[in-house]
Amino acid sequence: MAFPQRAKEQAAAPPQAAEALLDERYQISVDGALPEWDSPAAKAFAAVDLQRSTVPLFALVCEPAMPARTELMTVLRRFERPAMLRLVDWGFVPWGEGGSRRVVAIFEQPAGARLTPSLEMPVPPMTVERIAEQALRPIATALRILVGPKSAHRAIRPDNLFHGATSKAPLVLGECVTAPAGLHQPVLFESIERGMAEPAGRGAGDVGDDLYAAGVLALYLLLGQDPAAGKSDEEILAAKLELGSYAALVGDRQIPRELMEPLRGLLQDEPRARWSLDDLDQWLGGHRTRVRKPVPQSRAARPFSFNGKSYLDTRALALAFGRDWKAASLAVSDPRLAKWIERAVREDLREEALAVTAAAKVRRASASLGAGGDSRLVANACLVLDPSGPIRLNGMSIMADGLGTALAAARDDPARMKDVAEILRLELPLLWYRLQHGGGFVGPNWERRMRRLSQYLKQAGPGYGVERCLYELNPSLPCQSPVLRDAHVIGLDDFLAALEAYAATADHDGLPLDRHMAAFVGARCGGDVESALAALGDRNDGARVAAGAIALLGVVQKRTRIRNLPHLSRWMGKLTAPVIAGFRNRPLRQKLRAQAASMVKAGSLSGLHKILVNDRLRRWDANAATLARAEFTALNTEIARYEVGARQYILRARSTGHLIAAFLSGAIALWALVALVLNYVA
Amino acid sequence: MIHATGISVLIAVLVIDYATFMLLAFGMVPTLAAYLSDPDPRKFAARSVGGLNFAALAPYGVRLWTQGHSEQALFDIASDMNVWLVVLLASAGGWLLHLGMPIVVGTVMRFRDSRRVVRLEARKTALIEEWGDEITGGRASEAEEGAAAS
Repeated sequence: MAFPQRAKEQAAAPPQAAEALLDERYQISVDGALPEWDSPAAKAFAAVDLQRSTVPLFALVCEPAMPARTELMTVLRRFERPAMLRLVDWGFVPWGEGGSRRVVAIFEQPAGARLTPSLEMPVPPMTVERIAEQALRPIATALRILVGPKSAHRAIRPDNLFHGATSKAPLVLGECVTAPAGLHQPVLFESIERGMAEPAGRGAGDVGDDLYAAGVLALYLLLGQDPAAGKSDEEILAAKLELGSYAALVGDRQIPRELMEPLRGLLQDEPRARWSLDDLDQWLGGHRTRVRKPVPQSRAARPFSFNGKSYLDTRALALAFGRDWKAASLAVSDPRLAKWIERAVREDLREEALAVTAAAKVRRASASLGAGGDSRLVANACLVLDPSGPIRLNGMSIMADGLGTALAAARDDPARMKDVAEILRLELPLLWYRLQHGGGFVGPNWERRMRRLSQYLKQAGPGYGVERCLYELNPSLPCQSPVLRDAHVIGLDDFLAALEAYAATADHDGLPLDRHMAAFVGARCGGDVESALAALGDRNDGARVAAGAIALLGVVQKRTRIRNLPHLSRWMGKLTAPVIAGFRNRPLRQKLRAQAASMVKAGSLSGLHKILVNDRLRRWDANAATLARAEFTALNTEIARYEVGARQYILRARSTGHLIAAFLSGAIALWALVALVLNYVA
Repeated sequence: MIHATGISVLIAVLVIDYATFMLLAFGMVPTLAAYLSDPDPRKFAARSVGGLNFAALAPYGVRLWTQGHSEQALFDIASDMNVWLVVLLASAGGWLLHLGMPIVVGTVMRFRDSRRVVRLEARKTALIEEWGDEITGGRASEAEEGAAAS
């Protein structure tokens, strides 16, 4: 399949103008950088609303490295008082010397400065009342707004808070849309399971994770500093695993009794026992909250030794396995692990756990388990030891709902992408899901989705494979085709517009679609294009590939509002020849050529699709060709029969001629007799 | 069957009238000759000649009967050379019919078949124009086999 190259015109784009315009309304000053408002994944610039210039604004121009949460931007734009940094509008703007499109979000400037530029810098400690009124209450309001679109904030941390207009005004929670959820959260502010995942694999999370972060924030504000200052991420995690988050973070410190209750509730490690938003609201309203008893963690009476350390906690062991995969491969087949698991693992997980150790026993007995066998075994063991934790494989550690972001983070590294996709290929998410026993933080269709993704990985053709998984798991990821990357194509309208613009740059030949484009369209269009993708992947039949490309783009155009695509249609028009040649009926071919030409002139790819990729017409053509061939054979047979019969003319003519002669003679005789009789009678 | 019918007719005529019988017996000699000389078991020559032979003889039979079908009338007719000329010419016409009709029939057949073949060839050409050479696909030998089998 042809891979179109980047248009030379893009490389020769004029330098960035002094101002960029979003939606003909928001003027962004390219030279007006506002580093104090920068987010980790976006740079801030001064912005002005040309229609309403009184409100001070700033624009966050997102870096292209990771997909922004554009779906959440669309939702938050509607809220006038979102209880966090107000998103006014968002869109795409050509940015930088190459003129590539970037996601830009326009925010109202907060009244005050950032609470702190970084976690390391201390802040003046706050009282419990101020923490409740100025921090927790606005955070609860913001989270309540996010419950509707089923989104989590996942960026609650001290350097993402802003002062209000006065010292007593509520703090303003910062934005959460310019980067994937949880990407820039310090491990301190993440629950144990999400803290164990790599940053790009932390997952979307839910309100429970935000409440946990709010709890850590409350502690931070009380202390005026990082409660785990000086500790590395590994040390923080180890302490949380060993002691529990509350004990690990609070330690020996004296905590005001009023704050103890919310801290215990919010820092609860077991998600089902953690405070909910209602619980927090209850506490903020001055009511006592019911304390939920946490589910006890899986701990053994005797330790298991791994890499020179002793482990009583299954989660800690899973974490250790994940960090040293090679040693874990050996440990999994250790018969002592099976015994340890029987004592340590929760009863509801024991069956799966023992299945893993049984498989390990088989491994010991046989030479190999086939491709991925060892890795799968260790991965399964890690899941069983820590079902609420990340999915671990070959040193990777990714939450079940973080697979998409992990793939997106790896998209420029094919080897890494393949590694992440291996998690799907080995169907580890399905085991993870089974181990949740109906619970978990993923939606009801998640399991079916994971199965579908596993199937996609098994298909090598364009539109499938790891690229398809990438776009299926990242609805707001722009198309990564080298041709379209700078156009930041997120939706099908953008896709067609960008492809049309590319088609206009030169007189192109070959297919206009590469693997990324096909996968992007496949993910955005769903089942409508599966047959087109199957045709596109038929390497043995060039006509079918061309038909697949026409069908794919035809479906896309039908789905979008773009009616006229003259350049793309002209390009696709060149591909119609092999498709039309696939029809055997010549008058039909001529008719199709004429119709195709008129569709190309009209810029209608959906029209081309309708004409050329017509199963009924193709079946008719095939059937009629068969009948024509049969008729031709029959004609030949009949002609040959006449030729053979010609040799028997003499015999046939003689007998027939004699018969006719005898008949004529008899008729004449009869006529003569009758005439004579009549004459005689008369 | 023809033999039985002819003999029956002759016997019947002999019984009815001796003169008529004699007229028929001598007048239909060309038919007899055609019968004997025809190798075809169906005796088409006799039929072709016989019909015209009879047609030529019939007026004289009527004359015989109108003249009292006496021996004298028979003698008058039999001695008239014109009678034998007519009878022999008619018989010759019968032979012409018998020999010529196969040629005519053969010509008509050939003409009809050739017209049919032309139509079939035209249809083949139309099919090739419509579907291209691929429908010819090495089927000629199959066609001949099919024709020979039928």
